[in-house]
Amino acid sequence: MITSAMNNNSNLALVDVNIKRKAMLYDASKCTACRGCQGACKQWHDLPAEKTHNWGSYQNPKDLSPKTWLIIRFDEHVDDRGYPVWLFNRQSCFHCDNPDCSAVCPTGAMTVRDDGVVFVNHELCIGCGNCADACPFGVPHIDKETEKSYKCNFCIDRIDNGLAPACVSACPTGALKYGEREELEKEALERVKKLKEMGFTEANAYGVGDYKTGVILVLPFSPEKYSWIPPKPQHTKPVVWWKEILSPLGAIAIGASALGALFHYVTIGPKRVEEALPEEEEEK
Amino acid sequence: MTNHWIDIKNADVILIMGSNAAENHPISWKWVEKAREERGAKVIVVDPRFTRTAAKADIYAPIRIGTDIAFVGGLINYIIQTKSYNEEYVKLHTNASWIVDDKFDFDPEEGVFSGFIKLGEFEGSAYGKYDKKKGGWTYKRDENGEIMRDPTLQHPRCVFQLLKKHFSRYTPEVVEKITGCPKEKFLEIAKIVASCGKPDRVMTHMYAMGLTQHTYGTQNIRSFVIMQLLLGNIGLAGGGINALRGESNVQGSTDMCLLFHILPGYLKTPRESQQTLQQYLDKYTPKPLIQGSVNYWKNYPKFIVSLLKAWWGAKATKENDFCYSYLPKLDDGGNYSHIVLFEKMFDGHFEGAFLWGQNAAVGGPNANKERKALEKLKWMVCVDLFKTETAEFWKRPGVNPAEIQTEVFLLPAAASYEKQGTVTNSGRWCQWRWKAVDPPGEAKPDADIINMLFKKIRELYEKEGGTFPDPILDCYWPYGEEVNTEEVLAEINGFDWKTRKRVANFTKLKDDGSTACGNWLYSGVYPEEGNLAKRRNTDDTTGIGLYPEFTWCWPLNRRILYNRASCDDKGRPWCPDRPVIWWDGSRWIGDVPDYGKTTPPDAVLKGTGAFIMLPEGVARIWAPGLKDGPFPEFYEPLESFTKNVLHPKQNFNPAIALSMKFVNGPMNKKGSSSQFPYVATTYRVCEHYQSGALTRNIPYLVEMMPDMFIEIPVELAKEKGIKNGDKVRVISARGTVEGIAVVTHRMMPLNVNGKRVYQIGMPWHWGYRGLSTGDSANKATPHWGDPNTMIPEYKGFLVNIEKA
Repeated sequence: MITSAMNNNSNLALVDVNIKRKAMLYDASKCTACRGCQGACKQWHDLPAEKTHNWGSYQNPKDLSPKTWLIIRFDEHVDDRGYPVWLFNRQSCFHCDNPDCSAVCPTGAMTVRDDGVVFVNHELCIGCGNCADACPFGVPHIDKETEKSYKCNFCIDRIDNGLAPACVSACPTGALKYGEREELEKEALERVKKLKEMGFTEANAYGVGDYKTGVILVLPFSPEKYSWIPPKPQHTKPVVWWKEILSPLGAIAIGASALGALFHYVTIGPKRVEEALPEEEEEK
Repeated sequence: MTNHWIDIKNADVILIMGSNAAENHPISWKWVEKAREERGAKVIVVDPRFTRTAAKADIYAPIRIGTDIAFVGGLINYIIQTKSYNEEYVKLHTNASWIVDDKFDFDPEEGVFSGFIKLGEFEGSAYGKYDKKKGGWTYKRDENGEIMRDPTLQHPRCVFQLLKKHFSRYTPEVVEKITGCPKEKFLEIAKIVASCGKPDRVMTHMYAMGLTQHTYGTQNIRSFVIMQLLLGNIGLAGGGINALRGESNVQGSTDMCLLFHILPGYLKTPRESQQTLQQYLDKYTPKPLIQGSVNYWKNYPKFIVSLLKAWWGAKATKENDFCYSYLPKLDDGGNYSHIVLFEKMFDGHFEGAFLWGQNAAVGGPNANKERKALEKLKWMVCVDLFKTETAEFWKRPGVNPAEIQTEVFLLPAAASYEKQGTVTNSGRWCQWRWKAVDPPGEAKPDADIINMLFKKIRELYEKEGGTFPDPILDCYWPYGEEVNTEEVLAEINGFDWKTRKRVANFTKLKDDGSTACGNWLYSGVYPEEGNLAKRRNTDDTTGIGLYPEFTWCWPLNRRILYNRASCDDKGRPWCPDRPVIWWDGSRWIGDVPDYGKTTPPDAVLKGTGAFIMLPEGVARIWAPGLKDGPFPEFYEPLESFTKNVLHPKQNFNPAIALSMKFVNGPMNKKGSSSQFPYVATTYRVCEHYQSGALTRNIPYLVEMMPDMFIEIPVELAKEKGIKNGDKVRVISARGTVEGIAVVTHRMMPLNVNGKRVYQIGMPWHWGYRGLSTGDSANKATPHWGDPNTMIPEYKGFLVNIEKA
């Protein structure tokens, strides 16, 4: 891996473009929720700021949207001695292995690259919303104006040119790392061991078990304590059904967007675009 | 910082008290995490609020706002009682063994030190000032005039014994009663802190405005200094007292005399009674207190004469006192700090004012009063990036612009990325930055604005004359149309007046007018070999992260101050695994030594102490230089709901006589707990910068932190019927602040002196201009402050709260 001598988080540090399975490691135990990543994501992808309001939390925007592909979530608890616990977690696309979003995509727009990056090819996307419905994490969001699906694309324009994703580059504490999944998985498990030694008995790595993801989380507390992730990630049921029964048909449908929309209607139901939109969008 | 950012990684214990480092100094956390990962460091956060920093701590302790001295006093007592201090260090490198004058004392009943002169009384407590001579704030001398010392530390009048006695009152029970921090929590922390008294364990202390912005802010810091000296943690890698500065270049601006009482390089601003250079030098050139002491400030004449030469060049000669008479003189005893200036402005004493990169209408204490004060000006010049609240105070909500006569000029300034120059970070690294983009429109770098102003003013003096034109007409001003800031840096570095060759460093400066130097502390940044602030060598030859060839650091590229104290009397590092400097038999190796390069290590036993800037040569555990006592003592904030547990007769800091002039003056009422039962504090968040002038105009940051908010304990919200996200109003005796309620368990209710106390938190980033508008928390803060610095009491005051 090529890195600068001083700081491999530096914006100008070069990264290896030939990684086999590209991945990110988000270590929540090192994250201070400064949200440099959140801002850098918007800046690199030229996404507009949303009109937000303080809703009694530091977290904003409240959720992902077509215009917001990464947020840091804030979860507050009280421990058994009455002391506060404040947890931070990064919400964005996991770039899963065998992603449901792609399996249900009727047009092949939700593309899975050989290096594991999952991105939306907007030339093919018809905004049907299958991906949004199928994602176990609620990541893709459909823009009702452009009728396209939007989510984190792993900064493919950066990583293909030797730069780390924008969020990784912006992270000051080393909570975000980019690299080969195999290595990052090892690092995640090491870190969990270390955290357990430090007294975080619930420490765990997320996305390394049966359900493998391209973004691995190191969580100092059990997944139940983080508000947006299912404790045990698994492929969504409709997806399993779709994959097993309809995926041969799906393959035929690639490129035939009208037909795809029809499939969507038949198998899932009418578009539910409104549901996918965050309330900020409606307040505009 | 005595140390620097990267050095945090060398710590075994990281005590964060008075700072929200993870939020307001995000990069610090990289090194905190490194210390944890590589050294197994423990992170302790003591704060009234459970911040994002607290969220990352190993141990968090809540305390009542403004009770830091009680907490640290308790730690000092614990360290002494358990004999956890580094005795050898304390004997070698501090004034613990020095005997103090017989008259010096502290009266625990009255709550004042000896020498107190009462000037008045307020709500049952006295205020006034100290007569240090009368109070015996001095060392005791023997019949030969030598200062007496007791190396065994047993003499009842030695500093160590006085310290022991003074802090013996700060028991864990008293700590709990004052601070509200449960005794068990305090003791858990005390144990870890005290473990750093072992020579090979080091604690760093990270602080910011949470300690300084009080009516006893300086003493807050002093208490940590004493603790770190007892533990032997000053001068070592991973140790020190580390002030995390709140702006990227605030260290640089302080070094360059942003404040009224200093000239560049911490030289003193002359007073009216110092009419000649000799009178001035007699006053400020210290004499060694002990034979052998390096007493580096003995070079004061070289620094001031070189400065005068840099300002008045060829006109500054020995015959005319190097134009010393041109320097403005402050009134004897006069104070010209922010609060005092705005009080004077309010009273109509100023015709005009420049507010240069300062947004007082949002960031100033008691913002309502400061906004009103601006109305008394005939003219005001604002130099800023945006039309700030200050620039547009005349059309703020609730006023009629037609009734305000102030003529306002706004000069658009270039942002830091739109000009070249240096930025000095908290670790004293002077770093050159290149221009990234051109400033928009007519915006100009500050230096160019000053250049244009100066030239125009000089032209007017030349044409029209005027009172005392000489300082302007004779000024050495070698700049052309635009200022090349690298030339300014060369002047700051200093040069030989005749040859124009830049000096190597401040050891080459002279007091005969042959050298000019704009700031002696920075001398060495730009020697003949080149501009060292531009260096970007990322090799760490030292292994402890000093990166000696990455930019340049004052003084003399010394990365860790007082590093001589990191070794014993044989020159052996206390921590051999992370040595800063060490003696190799003939000279000091490692960091640039804070000592003579070849001065043998045992010279510390012969009076040549490690603290070369002090006439004692050793660090001051007992420090008679401050206005409010040689030891810190706990006092309540001026606005408090409870009696001082230690001495109910003296609730607040008795030395705040200057502030008392303004208490209950116009628009500056003091509130009482019957009307304002809750304690409030103000702070910043990661997403916004200072008064928000910049960040409230950046859409992404506004998206993240869109509104003024107020953090309220869950229990208080329940009592008041306030729900999360409701609009609420916080009211102090000065003003009202509206915001969105963030109802949270992170504001823990505390039990203090038998009372349950609720604390309320308010960020102060908002104002009435920009993409995101809202109230500034400073509408509620008061116009009083610390007696030594007059830094405003932004942190602890009383309020009430209601649903809006």
